[in-house]
Amino acid sequence: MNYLKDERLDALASDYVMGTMQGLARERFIRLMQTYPAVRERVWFWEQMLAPLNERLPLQSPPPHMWDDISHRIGFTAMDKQDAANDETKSPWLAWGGGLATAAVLIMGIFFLMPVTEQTTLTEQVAVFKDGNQPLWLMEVSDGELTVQATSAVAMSDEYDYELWIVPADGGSPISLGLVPESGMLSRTLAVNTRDMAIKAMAVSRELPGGSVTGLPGEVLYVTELTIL
Amino acid sequence: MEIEHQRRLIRAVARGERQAFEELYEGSGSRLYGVAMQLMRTPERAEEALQEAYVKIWHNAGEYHEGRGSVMTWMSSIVRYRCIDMLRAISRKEGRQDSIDQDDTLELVAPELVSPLNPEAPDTAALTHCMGTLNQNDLQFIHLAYYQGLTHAEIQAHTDTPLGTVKSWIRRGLQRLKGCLNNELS
Repeated sequence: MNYLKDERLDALASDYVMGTMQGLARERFIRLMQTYPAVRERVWFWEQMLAPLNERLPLQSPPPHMWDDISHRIGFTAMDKQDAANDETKSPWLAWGGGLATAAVLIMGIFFLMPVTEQTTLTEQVAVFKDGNQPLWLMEVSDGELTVQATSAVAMSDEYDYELWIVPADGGSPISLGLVPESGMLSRTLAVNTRDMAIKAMAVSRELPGGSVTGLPGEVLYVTELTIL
Repeated sequence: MEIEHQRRLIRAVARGERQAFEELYEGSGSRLYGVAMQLMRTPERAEEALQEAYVKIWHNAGEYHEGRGSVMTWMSSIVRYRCIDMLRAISRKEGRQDSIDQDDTLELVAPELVSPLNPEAPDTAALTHCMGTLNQNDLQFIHLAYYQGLTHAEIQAHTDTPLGTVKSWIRRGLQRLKGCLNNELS
């Protein structure tokens, strides 16, 4: 594949990190990053290569209200109120503020409808996301590697991307495992702290190109459970 | 903030420890706000970008690993990409290809004004040396892209330089920078 030729890859990765890449080229490159470890690693190389440029900029103190604003966006403020109210259910879904609450409530509703099953972790498992009886993605986790294979039934679009999420069994916020392909296969190393996590379900959401910028799912489309091999 | 301490903090953040996140913010906020201000140019836009970046850092702390470099490098990249996304969105919304005002053109292409602002930073000695080995055109275009967030097309428009030349000068400069830094650090 031309993209993976070393010189070409170097040029594209540096364009991406510099920020000069844009539009469809940038979207295509993000998909390549999601698919090929070599592409991601070259981007990380350039991020580190150019990072000292940031250190040459003058430090600037953020305004005093910045931390409160960030806390509010994440939902810390609402969580504190929730704690103060000593809510026995203590569900972080309810604690999310603003627009994030919508996604939380939607996804919570889906999981309440699901039967309570044994909690699993991402050790060696498979899952199938389906639309009715039609399989869309086949997901496999083995030795810390996540593999997702799209079927031909996945609806392809330039308007949005699909993102994969872990729904923790402890009721915590969903954790993104990144975008899933609309076609072909993706292979990715799982972050260490997700491998032993107790998981209630996996979900796929629809996001704007590039994935969720809030760290929380947008429109949840599909939910499935993991099956231990 | 010391690199290992930041790594301990980010691991704690990945476990959902808010105290660690606040400490991480206190140790990185000024650096990252500086990055956001440089790219976004107004406090309002910089604040918006920084807030969104920290929300992402909170939710994606588990994705950090040492292959990404230091925690500060990883967080700086999140801030930069968020700023770049916002700049591109602003350009689209305003129906123009460039994301800076025409009045800024001369200011941006004046080498002395796009030069880095804090050359005394201790961790940048190798980079400072290597930047000094680049020719003026390469250096200027790299600065316009990295510090002002301009695309190739925007640099073309603002410097009246053919697009192919803009691309090749930036890439040539980066390759020279890479070669020099590899030599310096080996």
